[in-house]
Amino acid sequence: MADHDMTRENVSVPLLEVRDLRVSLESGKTLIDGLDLTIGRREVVALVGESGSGKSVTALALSRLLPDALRITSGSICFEGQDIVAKSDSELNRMRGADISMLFQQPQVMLDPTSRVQAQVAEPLRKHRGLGRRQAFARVVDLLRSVGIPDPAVRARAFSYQLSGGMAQRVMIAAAMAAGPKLLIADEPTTALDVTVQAQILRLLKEERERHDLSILLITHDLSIVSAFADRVAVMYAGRILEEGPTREIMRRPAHPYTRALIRCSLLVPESDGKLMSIPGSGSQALAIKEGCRFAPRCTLMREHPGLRIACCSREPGLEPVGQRWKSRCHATAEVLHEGDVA
Amino acid sequence: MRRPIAATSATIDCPRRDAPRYADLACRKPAFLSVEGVVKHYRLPSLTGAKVVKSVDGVSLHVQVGEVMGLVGESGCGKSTFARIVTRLTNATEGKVLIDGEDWLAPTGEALRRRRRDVQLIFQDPYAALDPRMTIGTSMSAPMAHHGLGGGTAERRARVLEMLGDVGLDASFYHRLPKQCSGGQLQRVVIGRALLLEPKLLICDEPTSALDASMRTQILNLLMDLKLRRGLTMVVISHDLRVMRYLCDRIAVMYLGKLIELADRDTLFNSPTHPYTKALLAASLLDQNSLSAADSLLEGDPPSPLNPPSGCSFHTRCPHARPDCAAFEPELKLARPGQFVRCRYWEALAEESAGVRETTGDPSGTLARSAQSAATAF
Repeated sequence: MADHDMTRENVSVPLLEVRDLRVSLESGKTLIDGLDLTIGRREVVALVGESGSGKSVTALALSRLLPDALRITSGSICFEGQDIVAKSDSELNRMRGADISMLFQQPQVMLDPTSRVQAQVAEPLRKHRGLGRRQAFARVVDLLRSVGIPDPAVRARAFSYQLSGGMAQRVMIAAAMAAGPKLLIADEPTTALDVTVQAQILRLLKEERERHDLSILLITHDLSIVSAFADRVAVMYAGRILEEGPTREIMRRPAHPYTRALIRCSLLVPESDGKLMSIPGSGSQALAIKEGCRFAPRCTLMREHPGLRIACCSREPGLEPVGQRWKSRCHATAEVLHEGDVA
Repeated sequence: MRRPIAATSATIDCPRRDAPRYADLACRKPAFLSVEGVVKHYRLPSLTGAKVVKSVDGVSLHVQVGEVMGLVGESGCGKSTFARIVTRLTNATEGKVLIDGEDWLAPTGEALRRRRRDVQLIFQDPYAALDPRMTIGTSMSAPMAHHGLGGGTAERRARVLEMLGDVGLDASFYHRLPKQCSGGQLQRVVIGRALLLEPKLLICDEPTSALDASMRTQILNLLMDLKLRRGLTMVVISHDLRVMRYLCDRIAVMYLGKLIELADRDTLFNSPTHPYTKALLAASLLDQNSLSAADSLLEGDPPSPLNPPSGCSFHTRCPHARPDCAAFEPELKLARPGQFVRCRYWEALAEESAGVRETTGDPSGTLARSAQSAATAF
């Protein structure tokens, strides 16, 4: 009976719920400004944005791995109903790798060059699952096989520098999956890899998700990956989420001018004037904007509709619902949607 | 016995996109950049005797005036080594490179230094290409001063300011330091600095890979502008096929130091012939179905150039490999007008896939769909 209640509760509570998260530098500069994000069970959520938008800081904040200079100043990160922000270091160590695993951009840098692959893949099994050395090493070969490494028994004894980038990322995935986590945070997992290997790794991540009922937070700047991979997408800009919702709808007809511009840019299809779409200016100054919409200085929609200028430059729009689980932070959502399909 | 038309002859030249396809083959117009059988071997000392990495292994490529040639391939395929040879940053082991009919590998020392301005190189990372302690203005005028161009300091300054405008930056950048600029702005500076030397040939090695999507389109617009307005001859190296499709007239696909397919842009995207090209297209132009379609993705990594496979170097990963692919090395042959391919069985494969398409009632084919729908893939 008690078990039954537990499962019911688990279904209703999302796996990860971030509320009003703020991350600041010690100097007081805010890098993440009131981030709300929900990841359901077995859901793949992509967090996209340009460099400097705060997506990697978000990834580090979610597993409380922020460097010393950065602090979580407010907000909550609830993983299965428990607030990660309030946890102690030992509680966090029990959680990392067991409930939440991470995957980074440069697998060869993340692996320890002085110890063999098997020791590194076995670590979560020994730490979190209490397996002995021999038992853990036996599991490693299975794990390496399941991530598609040929000759797993041989590769288990290799060092990281003997692996190619794609192989090293597979090893990282095996290590991340070893203790059976519920959430995988993957920060640009394929950016350093060749396109052919990138497709293999993405497919592998999809298989792992099916096999282990895994939720994935994919952090990327590459929108072509997003449409092939994610169920939901959140677009970040200057420490804020500007649009969040189902990938299919957003990629077809986004509700925020920034998302629209970003998609047009990634398509590399010339506009009517024969030029590629580009977003004027750069986003690096946007964190300093205190009044109005942070994207306003670069927004072409605002320039085309002078009537919007006063609202956009004086009052920052809230994250308002557009559709089913779809929100956008814009004063002119209706106008953006009116522009029709993006491609 | 008639020999197949091999890539080593000058007949490989294919005309610009709008000209009739066989024009060049008939008139044999000399190419502007002509690379003939270039080989670069690196010797690596090892305990078991020196090993040789065949980084570039017999590449022939001919680029016409005003043409933009793309070079695409996975990391380690030799595309950057090719760029280093053409810019004389490294010496070729074998082969010839002619620029405008003149031997480009012969000059050394002072003669080479004076001619270096003819071929300029744009790197991937603009932060690394600029001295962090030099202002943009100083960085941009230094190469001109080095080559004795632009008269005195005042004239050089005027030309730098004019060039800043040409690449879409305002005069305030003259006194800025690299750390005060974004990556896209710095890449414009690097391109402007190269253009100030009035090069005959611009080699762009991954010019947009380090940039965000919005910056990338700014640089691509600038490069396209150079192509259309100045008629600059360019070789663009990238792993991003979307960039290639936008910018290039012709595209050469490299695998383990060899060209395996060479075609004009539309032919390559609409009817890729080599299995590797097909796989590369499928992996680059992802859409919602491509991660679930089992057959379209390549398995494994590229083989080590230290120990390349026998025969066709792609046979270890090729989904259509036949037993004798491991034994015989194919040559680069003319497949269709303007399209060269290094595969012994491309005709059989083309027939097979046509058959599959008919039986499955998929007239466009999976690949044609993914290539064409890339515009609507999102």
